[in-house]
Amino acid sequence: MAWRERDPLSELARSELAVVDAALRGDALPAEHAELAELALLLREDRPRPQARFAGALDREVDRRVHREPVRSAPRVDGPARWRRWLAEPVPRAAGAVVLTALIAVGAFALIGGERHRGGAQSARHEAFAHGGSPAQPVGEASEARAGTHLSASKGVAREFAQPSVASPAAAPAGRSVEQTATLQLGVSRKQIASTGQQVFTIVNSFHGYVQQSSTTSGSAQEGGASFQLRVPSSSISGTLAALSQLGRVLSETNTTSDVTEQLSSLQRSLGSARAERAALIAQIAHTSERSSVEALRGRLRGVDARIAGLQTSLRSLSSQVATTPISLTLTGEAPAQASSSGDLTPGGAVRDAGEILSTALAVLLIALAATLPVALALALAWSAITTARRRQREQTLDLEA
Amino acid sequence: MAPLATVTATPGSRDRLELLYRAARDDVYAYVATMLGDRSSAEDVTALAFERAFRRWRLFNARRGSERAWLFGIARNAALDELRRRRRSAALARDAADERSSVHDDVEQILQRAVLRSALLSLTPRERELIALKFHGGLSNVDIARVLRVSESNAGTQLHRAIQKLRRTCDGLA
Repeated sequence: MAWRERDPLSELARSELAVVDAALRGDALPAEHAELAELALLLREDRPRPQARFAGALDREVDRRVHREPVRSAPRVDGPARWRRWLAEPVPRAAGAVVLTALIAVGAFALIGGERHRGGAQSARHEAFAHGGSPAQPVGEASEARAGTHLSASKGVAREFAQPSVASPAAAPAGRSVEQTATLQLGVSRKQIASTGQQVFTIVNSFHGYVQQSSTTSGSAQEGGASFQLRVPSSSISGTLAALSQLGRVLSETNTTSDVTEQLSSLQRSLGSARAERAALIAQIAHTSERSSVEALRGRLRGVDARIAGLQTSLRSLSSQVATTPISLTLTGEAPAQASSSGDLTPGGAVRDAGEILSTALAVLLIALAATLPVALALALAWSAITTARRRQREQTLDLEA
Repeated sequence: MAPLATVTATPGSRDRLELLYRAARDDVYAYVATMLGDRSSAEDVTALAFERAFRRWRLFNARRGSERAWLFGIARNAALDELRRRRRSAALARDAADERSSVHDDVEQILQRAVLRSALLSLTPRERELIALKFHGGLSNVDIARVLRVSESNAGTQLHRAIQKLRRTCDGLA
């Protein structure tokens, strides 16, 4: 297409085109340009004209579209409209569709990722529980467990602990005596080990229990931690565990119950028999006059007294074990961000969680963009190639017509 | 047909589009008819061009050229598509009859028009298109350059050459 090459306008061409424009405007021209002016006017005058029938039909159609159809947003020259117009064009529209798809994918990934994150944390907690050496058992089964059997329950979320009906050890049936033990492992921010330890004392005291033994390690670069041997009234075990589990992220919990009713009854029966035997021996001694027989009876009485004392000690110990429950509490130091994801709705925790979510979303966005960018580029190139090819084909039409 | 420039309407509004239509309807038809050579196809393509113009009006960007150049660009694409379609199917016969002559024209004018039409037919399609854009479409040289996607000087040069060739042909035929 040689005619498309750069071709500077000559002076002659410039002046004659000016004459043509002047003639078409109806300006008066010198006689020397009369022939060119006449040609221009004749060309303009002799142009094809539409038939009245066609012009009328077209006018009616235009009138219908202009005055009766709802008007779509017309182009304006201000900024936002320019963007709307730009977005309405094919290539930007395709790019917009790609970006929109990417954003939807990001949202979906963020949601799925968040669920996986939470699920992963839960799994980690269950794993920690498993490492604790106690068999995992569903909570429902735990609550249905019968007295006299060992029972274990694990809960991964601290919030669940706040509901004693779910998280607490099974209550002893009426008339039964149950011995309980509990083991609780909490994840706490390393910086808060000492203050959390103080809170443990406060909680235990508030439930009328006491701390038998405690050991705290903090302030080192390594994971700090603390361990406590607690003893609280068995009637308060549920509340105590619920309160303690609020101090950090629950890594594991083990509750063990053992029905000691028979053992207790057996001790009481033995004690009653021993006391009866003792009373009988005292009566025999009162009615015996022979010195040797009295000494023999007194020897037997000392043995019975010793047996009664032993039984009473065992009975007191067992009663004490039933009345109070030992709790083995371990605080494990964690990084602040890890410890904060316990689901507690504090402003600081929420800010940290929001930061984590945003950074995750940003990472997913980058991945999605990286994945969609080649597609968008390919689409843009394809569109450009199609447009160029179509334009060339159109231009070639005129050459072929020649 | 009122000149577009003399009518006041908000740029980009539907009223403005209507004014554009009123001012350019006959010119678009004339350009398309010269390109295609038959009235029936010219009517179809003209209607199609305005249909597209109404649909794409919100895409019009004043920085890319005038409304008139934009409209003629649409009409040109539609006309070229029609020419391509013709080449794929059977070529249609051009209308021999033309209703441009009036019973009031004198003999000399009729002869002038006949010579001019013969000279036009002797031009290449590209040259004929330039003549049609300038004299039938009433476009400025700037608008012609926009429609053809060439520089203004290039459009002017090619237009001048087409006019010179047309003058020479007319002189020869006369």
